[in-house]
Amino acid sequence: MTDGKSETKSFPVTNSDVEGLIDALSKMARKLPPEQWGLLLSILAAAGGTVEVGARKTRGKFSGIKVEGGVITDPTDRKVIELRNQLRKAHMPGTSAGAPLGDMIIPPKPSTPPKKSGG
Amino acid sequence: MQDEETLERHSTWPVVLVSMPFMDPYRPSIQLGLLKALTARCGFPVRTCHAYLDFAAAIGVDYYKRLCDHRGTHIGDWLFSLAAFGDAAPDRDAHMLDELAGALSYLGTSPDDMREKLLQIRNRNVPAYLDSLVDGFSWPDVAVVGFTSTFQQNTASFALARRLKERHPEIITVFGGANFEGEMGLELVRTVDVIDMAVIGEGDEAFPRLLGVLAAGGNLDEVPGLARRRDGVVAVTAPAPAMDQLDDLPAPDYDEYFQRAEDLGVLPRVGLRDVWLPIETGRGCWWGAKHHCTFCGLNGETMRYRSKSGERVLNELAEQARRYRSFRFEAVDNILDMAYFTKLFPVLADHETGYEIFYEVKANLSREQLKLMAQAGVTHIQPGIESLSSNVLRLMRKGVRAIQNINLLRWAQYYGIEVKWNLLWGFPGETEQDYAGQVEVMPHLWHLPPPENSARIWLERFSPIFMERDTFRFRHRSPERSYRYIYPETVDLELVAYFFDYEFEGGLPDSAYADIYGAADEWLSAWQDGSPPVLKYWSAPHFVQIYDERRRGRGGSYTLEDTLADLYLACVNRPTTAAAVRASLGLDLPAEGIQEIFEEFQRLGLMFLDEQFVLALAVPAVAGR
Repeated sequence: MTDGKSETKSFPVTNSDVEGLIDALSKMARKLPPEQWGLLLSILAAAGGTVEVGARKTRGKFSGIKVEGGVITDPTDRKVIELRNQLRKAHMPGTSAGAPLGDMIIPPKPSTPPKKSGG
Repeated sequence: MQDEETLERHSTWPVVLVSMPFMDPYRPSIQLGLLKALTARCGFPVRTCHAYLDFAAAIGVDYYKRLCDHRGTHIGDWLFSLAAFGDAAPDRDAHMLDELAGALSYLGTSPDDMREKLLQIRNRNVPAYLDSLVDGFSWPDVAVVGFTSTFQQNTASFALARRLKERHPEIITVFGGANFEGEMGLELVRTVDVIDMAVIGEGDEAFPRLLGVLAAGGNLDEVPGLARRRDGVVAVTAPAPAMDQLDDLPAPDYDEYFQRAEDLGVLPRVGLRDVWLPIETGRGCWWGAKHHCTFCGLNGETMRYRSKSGERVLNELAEQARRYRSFRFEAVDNILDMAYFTKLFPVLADHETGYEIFYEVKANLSREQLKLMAQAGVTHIQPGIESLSSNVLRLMRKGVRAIQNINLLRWAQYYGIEVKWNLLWGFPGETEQDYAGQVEVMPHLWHLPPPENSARIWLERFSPIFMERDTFRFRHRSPERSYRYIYPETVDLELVAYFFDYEFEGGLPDSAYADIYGAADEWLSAWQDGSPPVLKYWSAPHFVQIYDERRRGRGGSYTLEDTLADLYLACVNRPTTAAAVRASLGLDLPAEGIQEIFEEFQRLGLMFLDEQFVLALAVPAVAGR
């Protein structure tokens, strides 16, 4: 990881790997000078939000973190996660009565164009 | 140009060109039409006999069409086998109808019904039909009868030739067509005594030249690509060079087809007629010349691609439309000339002609190309899609990816071009995963035209999987099983057959394809049951709404804003990649993150991912732009 850069790497990881890593980092934190605690907490927070473990729990992804001037500002995957969450909520099921198009108000078939008044 | 003396000699040498069952009754024969025009140009009095029309009228056009549309089991050739070979025919007792009853069940309401119908046709209709052909024409005036034979036209042609030879032994019979390519033609000449000679390969130059030599009593060794029996063996001359200058060919003459079809009531004299005029704009296959698709046996030994100029095609379309009062054209080409995107289609689009044109195409056409084709009047295409797995497409040397196939289906549908395509399986080297992946993706594609046919590939002579025996190894391979019920024992079926039964070494069993067969069938059913499924989108800057009713009664919408909308729209026109989208949108997201979002789109069935490539699946709601 380089200051000012984003990086993402994939490698095999399991749930227990992640838990073990967080546990080890928590123990190390007590030995760190207070000015580095914030940075470590940011890393932990970022890791907590960006580690994914596959359905079979044999592979996963630990995404990179954007660091500016030695300070974690915004994990880039946060944006990806946000977009993915938005996408998951983008669907509006239709109902047979009233709202067959879900969230849409445009009819699916060509409609009659509006007439100009006074024409 | 012929001199006067030659023309005078030719004028006393009448020729009849015949096309026997089984041919589509709603298409004139381009082989007859073209050879007639070429032969007439050399001064020979020539008539064409679209004799398949008479047979269609005799047994009923609907039933005849069912026989025509079937390939695989050679029921058409079986029906004429007795008449063609007499006592040497191998299946007088009709064992084939019992042994292959399953494959023929579509020809009757029950096995007994099927058997009764087919026996009646073979034992009553066929002899009466042949009698009517022999009695209904002034054959004593004819010097040469030319038969063209493709797919199931062999035995019907031999049967008529036999009758003619019995009554008029002086008539010279000449055979040609795809069934006479290479060793197939040589073996037929060796074993079928009613064939006097055969033109092997393209006949445009060889056939008129043969007639000229016959009329002049000249040396037949001067005729290229001519096979005949001599001193107990088959002698064949060096093949004619493939016809290069297609612009020099005349337009096919279909006059007698329309006359006969109207006389027989196959076509109405007035009103709507479901006829597509065959037109040839190119020959061979430019893709096959570079990378022959492994399963394709078309073009035999004349793969090299040649085509007519755009100007010539324009003239021929105009001439034929006017001559036959028809605006529908079926290009018989195996592949589209890409030069037509600059030399033909822009002119057709500018002229705003009323043509409806069919073409077979390679499936890697872009949105812009499909738009131009639609504007030019190409209303129907048959792309070589064949699979929705890039791995399987690689194995068949198709030269396209699955994502390009899907993109073609999207834009053809958007521009109102009707697509017919096949889903094929059974390629050496494929895995069960290749098919599991296709089964998974098919429900996402229901808004696109489904495959018309889904089946294991046929093994065809001349195809790479037939020819490259070191690359494609078989556990067994033998001529398709119906051939042995058709040809006499003296015919070597290994040399005559075009289709073969087979099992590859290491090939997947039929059970591996049960799921994809079911998935394709479900897709097809969704299109046959009322209005087709829908997945379309409306867009404004940074805003997209997608309407999804791929499953009837389960409609819904997706609303995408800002970055999500931009990402979706960036994948609409053509297959792209996360890195390319990132660059084009200037996004402050890593390409891998964008890829993750694409994967989510894929899970929702809104995008198709093919290795690093991605494509939006919805089509624009507002048509024709």
